[in-house]
Amino acid sequence: MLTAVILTPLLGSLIVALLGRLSAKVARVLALLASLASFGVVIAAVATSSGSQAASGAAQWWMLTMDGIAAPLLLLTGFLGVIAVLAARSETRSPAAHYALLLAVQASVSGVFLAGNLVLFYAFWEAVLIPMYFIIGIWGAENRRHAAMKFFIYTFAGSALMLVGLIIAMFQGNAFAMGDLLSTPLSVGLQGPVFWLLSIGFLMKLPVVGLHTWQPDAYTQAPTSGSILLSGVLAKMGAYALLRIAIPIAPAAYDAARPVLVALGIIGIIYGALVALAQSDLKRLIAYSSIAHMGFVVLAIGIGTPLALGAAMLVMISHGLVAGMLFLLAGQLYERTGTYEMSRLGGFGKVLPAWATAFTFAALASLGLPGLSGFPGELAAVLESWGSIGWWTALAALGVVFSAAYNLTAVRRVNHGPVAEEFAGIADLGLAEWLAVAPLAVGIVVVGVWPQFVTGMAEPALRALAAVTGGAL
Amino acid sequence: MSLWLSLSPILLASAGAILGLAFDAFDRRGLAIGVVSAGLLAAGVVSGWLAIVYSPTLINVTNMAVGRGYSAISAVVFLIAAITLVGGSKVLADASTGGQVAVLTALLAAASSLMASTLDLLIVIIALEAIAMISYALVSARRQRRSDEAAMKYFIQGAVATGFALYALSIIFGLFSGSVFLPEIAKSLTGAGRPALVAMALLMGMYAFKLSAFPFHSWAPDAYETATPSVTAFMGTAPKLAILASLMLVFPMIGFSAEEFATSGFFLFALLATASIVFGNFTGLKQTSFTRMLAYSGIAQVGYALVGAAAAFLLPQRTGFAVLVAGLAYAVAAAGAFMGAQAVRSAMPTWDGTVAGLAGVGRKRPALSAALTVMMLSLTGIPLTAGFWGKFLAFGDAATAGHAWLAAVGLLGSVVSFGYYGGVIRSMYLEEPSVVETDSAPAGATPDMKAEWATIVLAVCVLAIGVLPFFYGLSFLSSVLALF
Amino acid sequence: MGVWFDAPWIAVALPLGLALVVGAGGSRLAPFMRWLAMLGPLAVLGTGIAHLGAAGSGGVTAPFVSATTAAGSLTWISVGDFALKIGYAVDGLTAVMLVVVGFVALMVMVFSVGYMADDPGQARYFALLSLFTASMTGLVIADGLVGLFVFWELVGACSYLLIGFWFNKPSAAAAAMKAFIVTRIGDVGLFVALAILWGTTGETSYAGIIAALPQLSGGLVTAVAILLFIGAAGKSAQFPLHIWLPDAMEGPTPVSALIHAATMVAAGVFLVARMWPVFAASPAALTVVLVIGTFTALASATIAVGQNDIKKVLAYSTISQLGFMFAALGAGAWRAAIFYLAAHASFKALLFLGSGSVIHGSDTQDMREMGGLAKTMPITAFTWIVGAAALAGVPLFSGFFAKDEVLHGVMLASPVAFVALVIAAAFTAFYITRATVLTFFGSYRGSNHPHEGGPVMWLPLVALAIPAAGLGFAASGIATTLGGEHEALSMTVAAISTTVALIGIVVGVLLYRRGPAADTSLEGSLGGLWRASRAGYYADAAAGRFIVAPVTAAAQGLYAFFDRAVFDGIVEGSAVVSRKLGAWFARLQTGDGQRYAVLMGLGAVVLVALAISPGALETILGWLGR
Repeated sequence: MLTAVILTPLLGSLIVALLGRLSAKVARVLALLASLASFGVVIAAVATSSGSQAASGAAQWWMLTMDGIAAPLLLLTGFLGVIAVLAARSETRSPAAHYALLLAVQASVSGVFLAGNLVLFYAFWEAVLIPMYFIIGIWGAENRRHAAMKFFIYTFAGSALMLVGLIIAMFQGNAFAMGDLLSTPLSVGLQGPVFWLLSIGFLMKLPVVGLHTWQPDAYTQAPTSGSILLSGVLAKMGAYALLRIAIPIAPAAYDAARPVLVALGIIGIIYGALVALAQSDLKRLIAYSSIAHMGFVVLAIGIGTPLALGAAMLVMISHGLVAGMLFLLAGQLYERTGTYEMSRLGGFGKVLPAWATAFTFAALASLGLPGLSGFPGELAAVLESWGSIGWWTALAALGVVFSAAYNLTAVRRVNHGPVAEEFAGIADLGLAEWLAVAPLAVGIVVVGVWPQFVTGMAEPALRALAAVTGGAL
Repeated sequence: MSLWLSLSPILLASAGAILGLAFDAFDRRGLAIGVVSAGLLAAGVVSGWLAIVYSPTLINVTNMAVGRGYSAISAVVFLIAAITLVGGSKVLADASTGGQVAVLTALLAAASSLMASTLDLLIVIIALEAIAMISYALVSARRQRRSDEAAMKYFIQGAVATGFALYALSIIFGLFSGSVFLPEIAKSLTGAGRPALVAMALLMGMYAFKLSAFPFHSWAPDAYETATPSVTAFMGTAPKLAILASLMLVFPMIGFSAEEFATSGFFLFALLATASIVFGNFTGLKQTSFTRMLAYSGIAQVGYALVGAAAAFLLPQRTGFAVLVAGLAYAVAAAGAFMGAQAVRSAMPTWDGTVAGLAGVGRKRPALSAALTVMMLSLTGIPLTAGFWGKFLAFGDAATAGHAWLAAVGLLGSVVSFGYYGGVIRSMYLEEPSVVETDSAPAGATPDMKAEWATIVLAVCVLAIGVLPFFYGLSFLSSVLALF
Repeated sequence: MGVWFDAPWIAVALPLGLALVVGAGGSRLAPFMRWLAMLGPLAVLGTGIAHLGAAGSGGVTAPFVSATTAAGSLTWISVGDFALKIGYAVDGLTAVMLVVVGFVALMVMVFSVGYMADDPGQARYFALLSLFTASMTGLVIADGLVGLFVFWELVGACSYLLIGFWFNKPSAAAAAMKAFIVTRIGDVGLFVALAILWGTTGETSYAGIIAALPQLSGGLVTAVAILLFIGAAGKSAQFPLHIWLPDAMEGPTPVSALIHAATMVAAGVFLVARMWPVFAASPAALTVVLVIGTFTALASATIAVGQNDIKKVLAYSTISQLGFMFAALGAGAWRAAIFYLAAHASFKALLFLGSGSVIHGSDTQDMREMGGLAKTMPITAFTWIVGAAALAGVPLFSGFFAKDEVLHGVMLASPVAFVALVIAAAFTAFYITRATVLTFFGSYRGSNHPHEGGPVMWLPLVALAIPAAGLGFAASGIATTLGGEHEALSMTVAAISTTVALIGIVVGVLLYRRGPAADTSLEGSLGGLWRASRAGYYADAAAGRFIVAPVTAAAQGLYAFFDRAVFDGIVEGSAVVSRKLGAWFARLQTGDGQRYAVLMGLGAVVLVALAISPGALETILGWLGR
């Protein structure tokens, strides 16, 4: 079953690559079917897993497990996989290859979340880079080649350090299977270096401030479908790995590192939001907002109480949906206007009422409006902060003001004000586009109203994890 | 096992070579190449069979060992030789020296095979010299001024290296053991002190030269670039695997891995590895020529393997497995990359040999480009390719030995390496070919399908080695590839 | 009645559902949907009345959730042993708020049918009003701070969307954003207070927090109280977070009546009353509340005097009146504050709707272009005067009784604040008289043809005029509902406030009976003070200069310097350095065969030299590993 989660999109990718050459339409339909099938398989896999850990294929190194931390992320991956395929429907340059690569990304990311041992984990972790490199480099914007190389080399640099950490853990510490990490942590002497080597790779993926500059370029230059997967899914790999590998393998080092994580989280929240505020390019603004959101994830992981870890999960899922929706909408706008430059946009509330409504909705979700997905996670993260970091909580809470500022600035510059003359006649969202937007909106509301959907799934795993974390700093 | 059976691969390859020489003499170049290839193929198959069927056996008459790792290395060497020869046969058939090249290739393969299985220090040095001589000949077989010059430089440096080797041999043989049989030497070197260390350092220098490790590398870029790509595809790759095998055979057997030599051995190899990784990767960044870039990257690749060799000095179970996997991965992928260059040249006669000139190949020759991409990823060390396992195991050994910094050096080096390996992928897929080039592409350009297929076959091997261990584990590889 | 009583959450769910239905109906169904939307406020009103009835029959005995009439909760997020719950609980305070919210919302919706009749965005408008009704109801029936915070933010979002209803107008778009962001600054206080309470008590429900209050240190209680007040001040537009409210007048006028006068802006007052035991435990926090409330009341009353936009007058008036309520809270008279809240809701909603009627009829908001509208719009004029009288504190009108309780409470707490508030009351009477006279009396100065709206517009005015005039006589009922004893009218206070009200009215009439020219003479005699009042004492300019500009500059600087120059500089720079390094190494490759041989020889020498000095090696290895 778990193998099927990876194989379905992979097979889909091959089929699309081969048969999709017939015509763009065939490619589109096949890709959609493949992504839907993949999503279906994920749902089935999550539904049939007993809650704690489902495992399959213990043969040698092909070992897959799914625990509560992975399950929601897998669902998100399957879901955004469908959305990404839908978002790519107007791609005219080699659509078959484009879809095939999207499905390949989905397969490899699913592999990251399912990997049952450290080697397989690393294999999938790197495998993600390759299709993504091509998606950015071939279908991206003007500066795509540079962005693709930068994306590859700098995240590869992160993962090289991470591999050093993994190698030490495996060869000096005998760590191997994910399921055993919690019960057999490394010797204390090894924990420090291993934790930090791993974490640099993981934090670069998120990314945290300082290790982030590949991200605005990659997010901005990637085509819409790529941006959706990059921000929605790839960024989560880092946080997942922190929770699933770095903390269990080196609990003592994690404990020592918590103030640093908290600081990185808070810096991310403030820095990401402020820099987003300084952007005039809509897509770049969304890119920086991701740094702010992932800041909450890092903060919550640094705090490490069970509820804070739940909050981290919630923010991750929420950010996947919200950033996905924002990038999707930005892409739809770009198809109409050919620009992301906000100074040229304006008044689309009148011109594109449906699009503008969706965009305002997404912006409100991004700024953490209750009832939408951004709220519960950030709420829980901040609530849990006081017990660990006291008055520093106020800085994290201050982030909500800045996030309101940049999100509403975007809404104001794009939707509000007088109609930009050059774009007065463009058409609103079509049915097919709605089909991509609406599920995201529904997902955002579902997670916002019923966060326990996510935390409930993750609970057994978080409870186990919290046994080695938690407590005041 | 009989003596003849154990010698049969080398004999088969040599027989093919002699027949080929005969055919070539009668100007039947195509037939000559075919016969040589067949001989190599047969040698490869027999070696493979020996590797699977027999556990290591020492043949006392020749001080040779066959079975398992010894034969597996030979199998790889012969098969890569066969594939590159078949792949390059179209070019070779058109060149006046094609027949000779085929024959020399077979002899180089035979020498490499001998090298990987001999337990006699004298034969090691003779085989090394044979490899060197044949290589000079192969480089100059291009019959160009530049290739002659490269061969000449190579020869001069080779002479220096041979000097090291002979000096080392004389110390070991003359001062201590009085024997050239490796297990015998080990006993005599115990407690030998400084002179033995000098011998070890000199022996290392010689190996470093043959492997083109920094600072013994200078010949490699010129030689690899000027030789015909399909020739380099064998000459620059598989023999290195055999030399690495010999390295992992000689040093432990000679006793250099004993406690008293371990620290020095580790450090010297670590130094060579670090220097090679740093030099090879950074210099690779500056290269515009594809084959020259591969030559520099080869320096770095040897560095990765030497990380494993260094670690082996400190580890109690010195199987050399990691080094051999690293060497194997390098040999297959680099052979594929050079073959790919051959294929590209035939498909685009106007190609100037630069990486930038590869623009648009991704569209023009999709299968070839995909295969080349696999090679580049493998050389970078990305998982699901052979290159990953090589690095993973070699660096893993370093970590096990308590020197994770060496793993870090190697991994950061591989990050830098994507700067040029990735540049190839970038050129093929992301860059648009300049308009002039697409327009003026001669209609008569016929892709060399043999070269292309050879590249693809090698790519499939790279992927198979990369993917299969996830399902069947490394134990299959280790049971075949381990020397001890 | 039973259902309304037992399941007050229906009063949230119904308008929420209606919001979706109305919004989905689109503009074509809007003429029908806008009437359907009124079921929402009706449900709220019904729920409120049901619980008021319970108060009468003894169902509600105490002002706190310890004695709720209906309550329930569900677990919202739980991990391990930690669960965040959300629930509802209704007590007397809630019941009063429900009635206020339901009644005003209903009146505003009815009025809007007329006011927004020609607007193409009606579906969106009524959907948002419904959503607001749901959220505001949720805010008051929440049984704890998490629930309150959820709806607190949602009303803010509705406010944002409704202020920016005419988003193509840049000023409206700017005002909407400003409103949201400024109130969010306050929300940070609330958020942190919530975090502190959760972190120290593990509780978020009012009942739980109050029960756990003794565990908290005195300093922490004060901190929590002040943080809660910061949240309240943001929502209720208290100095210095008041700057958003005048701009919020960019929204449709009925929205101003509902959100920015009667209900949402009163949420801050409600919050303080709701968390009363926390404030009661901290005299320092109460002092802060009193000082800020009094200052705001006085300062914005003087600002209202200088405004020419009829809605701006009412906006500053609202800020000022909310200041009165906070002063009462700070003085400990929280029941008086709630009473005043209810009275203010009715008369300020009335005044806003009246101004809406005026704007609708005369097509301007500038009072200098009005005048004499009493003739053309008699019903509006009459009801306005009722509202104005209530605001001014004319005896027997609702404002009179409510203000009396407030002033009495403050007098007991702080004579200084009392004096300040009395002066503010005088200004209140003065500015509302000025507005009344300028709008309704004298001769018409505009160029349009003012006219009365249809019955959907004047009926709500009449309906609101009833409580505006007579709510004072329900004072004892409200006091009982809130769990207190009704106090007799304080005659001293009544005398003082009546006197100042009359002075304000008389001065206003005398000055402005000849039209707006009096402003010029006032400006002549007051000079800079007058101009400062007109400019809201430059609070906006100060906020722009000392907050917005630095933050923008910081954002730009952070991006240009840290992000591009430092972080990206390192990343891009390392690529350049790598290539430089490559070029440098490549210089070894000279092509000169002899040099190569020398290099090799040197290499061998180094190897041998190192090999025979194991001591050195071991030192180096010691640094490197193991």
